[in-house]
Amino acid sequence: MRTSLGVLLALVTAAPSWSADLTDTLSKGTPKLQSAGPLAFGPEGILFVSDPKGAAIFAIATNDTKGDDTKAINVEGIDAKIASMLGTKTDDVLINDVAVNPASGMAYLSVSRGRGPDAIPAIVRVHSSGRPEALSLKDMAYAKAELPNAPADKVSGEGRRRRNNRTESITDITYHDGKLVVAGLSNEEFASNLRAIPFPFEKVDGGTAIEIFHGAHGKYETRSPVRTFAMFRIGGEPHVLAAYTCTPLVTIPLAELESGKKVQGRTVAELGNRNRPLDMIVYEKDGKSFLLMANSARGVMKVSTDGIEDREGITERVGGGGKAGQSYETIETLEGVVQLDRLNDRQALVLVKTDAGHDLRTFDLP
Amino acid sequence: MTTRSRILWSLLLAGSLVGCREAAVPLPIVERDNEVCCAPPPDLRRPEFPGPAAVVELVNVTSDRHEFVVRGVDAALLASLQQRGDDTMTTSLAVRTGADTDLPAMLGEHAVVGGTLVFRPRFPLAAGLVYYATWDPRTVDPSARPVTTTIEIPSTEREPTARVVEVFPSGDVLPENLLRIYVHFSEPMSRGRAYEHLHLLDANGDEVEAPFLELGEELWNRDATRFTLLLDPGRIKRDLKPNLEVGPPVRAGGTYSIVVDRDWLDGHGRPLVEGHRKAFRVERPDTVPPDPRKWALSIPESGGVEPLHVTFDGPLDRALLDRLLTITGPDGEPLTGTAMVMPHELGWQFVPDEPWAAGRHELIVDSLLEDPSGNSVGRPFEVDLSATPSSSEGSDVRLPFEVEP
Repeated sequence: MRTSLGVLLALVTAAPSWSADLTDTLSKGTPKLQSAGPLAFGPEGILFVSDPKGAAIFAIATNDTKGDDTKAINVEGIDAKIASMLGTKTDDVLINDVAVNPASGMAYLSVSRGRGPDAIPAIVRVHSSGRPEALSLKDMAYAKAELPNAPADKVSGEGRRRRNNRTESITDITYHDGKLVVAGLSNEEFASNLRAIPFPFEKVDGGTAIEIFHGAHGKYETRSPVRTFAMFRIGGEPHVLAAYTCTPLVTIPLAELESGKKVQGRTVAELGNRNRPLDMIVYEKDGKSFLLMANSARGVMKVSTDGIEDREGITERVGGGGKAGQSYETIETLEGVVQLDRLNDRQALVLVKTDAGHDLRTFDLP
Repeated sequence: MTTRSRILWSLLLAGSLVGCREAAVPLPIVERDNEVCCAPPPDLRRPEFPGPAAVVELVNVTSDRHEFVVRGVDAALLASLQQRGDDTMTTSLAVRTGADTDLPAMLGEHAVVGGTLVFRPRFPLAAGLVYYATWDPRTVDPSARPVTTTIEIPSTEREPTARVVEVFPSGDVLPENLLRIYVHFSEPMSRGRAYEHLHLLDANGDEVEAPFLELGEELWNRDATRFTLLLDPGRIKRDLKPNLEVGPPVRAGGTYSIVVDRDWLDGHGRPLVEGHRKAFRVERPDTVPPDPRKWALSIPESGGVEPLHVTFDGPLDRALLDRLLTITGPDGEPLTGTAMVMPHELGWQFVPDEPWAAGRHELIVDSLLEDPSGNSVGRPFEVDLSATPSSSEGSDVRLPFEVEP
């Protein structure tokens, strides 16, 4: 997922001078992925790949730093093409995430070859020519951050015993200014956390996992898994703009994720029943910022960010089917969208599920 | 082009004029594709013309590794290919999963071995799939004729063996705010379509619409034998829009069934032996967190390996019971042994590997331990802030017990 760099750069005068050397912090080798899930790009064409099965995140230098991001990418039957490349049935290709490299305009896909427990992960990339190619992981400059619940993790000391048997799903990751923000969800206890992992990765620091809570109308407080999120500046400060699995849209200051304290998102919109946000990006149009969300039941939603910095957070129950918080409209022409990322300042790239398979399509940001 | 080829081509063109809509202008052979109008009907398993011609064959290296081998290639041509390198070999022998030559070629490695060109796919071939192997050395020999051979890998028609072993919570009466269900399978399963094969039916057998939280990632254990199914927290949590609009997925007083479809494929692509149905009644919501201080312990005698038996104050989460209970001995160290969860997850028992020592023991209950409604030790699923101050989580609870000498 691309960070809202367009928004950030408009407000920040200069990027930190060390960012050009991030690739130098990586070492050559062959990263061994056990799975390939959510993706994100950092600067210099550095690709972050989450590996939920191996409980790790990899940072890989793709060396893909030049290209034309204004070229539309439209590939019909991208899964059939990938299947041919991987020598399998189209049905046995699972596309887990799509992220566009802002340095080159190339789309990267994290793929599972096969649906069984021995499925093989692959990273495939494609640009406007429509011909996918597999990213070879041999002899790449890379680094690995292990998440604390990695399989080899040993039981240690008091307190949280036996965490090592748990599996955590990773629902989304985003890079922002030296930090990789990772949203995780346990497959057992109803717990969710956000981690802000410093990058370059410091040894095996998986970042502190911060439990995220939600307060329904300030009255009922519950743990709240994050399904998808984007970075957004509010009042000059970076925030996580997150969609909970239970549907509210909230903001969380990034600084709070590092404080180690309990974190409760501030509700800025309440989405109704059957809204299942799958993916989201932030973009600018006519001088204003918008959130674009792919929603499994309702197509793609365009959410206004007007007044988001002033909003106290929704604390009252809204009756009669009214919409509280940020206003949004549904773009119904975009149906079947399962993945979404920004292609350039004016366009987005989506993965669409059709009767025949999956297509990659470019469309103008609404 | 050889004289023989020219003659044969002329005959072909002559014959093609009869039914062909294209202009009768002979095109150079390199422009022709072997499936274009006027070519003989493709019999893809044998070459078009008699005489030496290359044939692509599939060779079993091991039971699940194959190689594609081109036989009958002129030695000089082979040497030429090898000299040109990988890219040329790759375009000369390309294997695809469809007839369309626009499809990307399979990933793998090419080599010239023992007078043949060999392609080793990077991944094992898929049973039941037809592969299209195209031999096309025209970049080295423009007069060569491309040949596409189709090779089918037979399906492995094995009988289904996987089944649903159990669904938790295993009780017959479940709370209205039930949050989480576990489906256990006898073998590793396939992922990506879980929610198409899971249904919640009401007493009339009608499907409850959108009762579950559907996650693209799906929630599986490490060996893909246990699936975690969450009911939609947006519908369960009070005061959230979905809860206000359509209410919880199940309602107190009603009866429902969780249905697992037979056609959920296992890790080998076979359906289940049979589907599975779990029927249950629903009672009022459970908003009371588990309280270990209310548990009953039946304490064994020292010197033996009788079980320590724990009875809970209500059913607890089946998966968390495997992780979040620990017994420590008089030295404060965790004991090793075998734990068993009682029927309906209402109790737990522990049999130590070593005989019980006399002295002070503790049952340590991790505060993350939940019941099926998501209430954890010391913290209900929904903390009513008007009644209690907000707290992030309860602490672990230690229940001491004496094993008498």
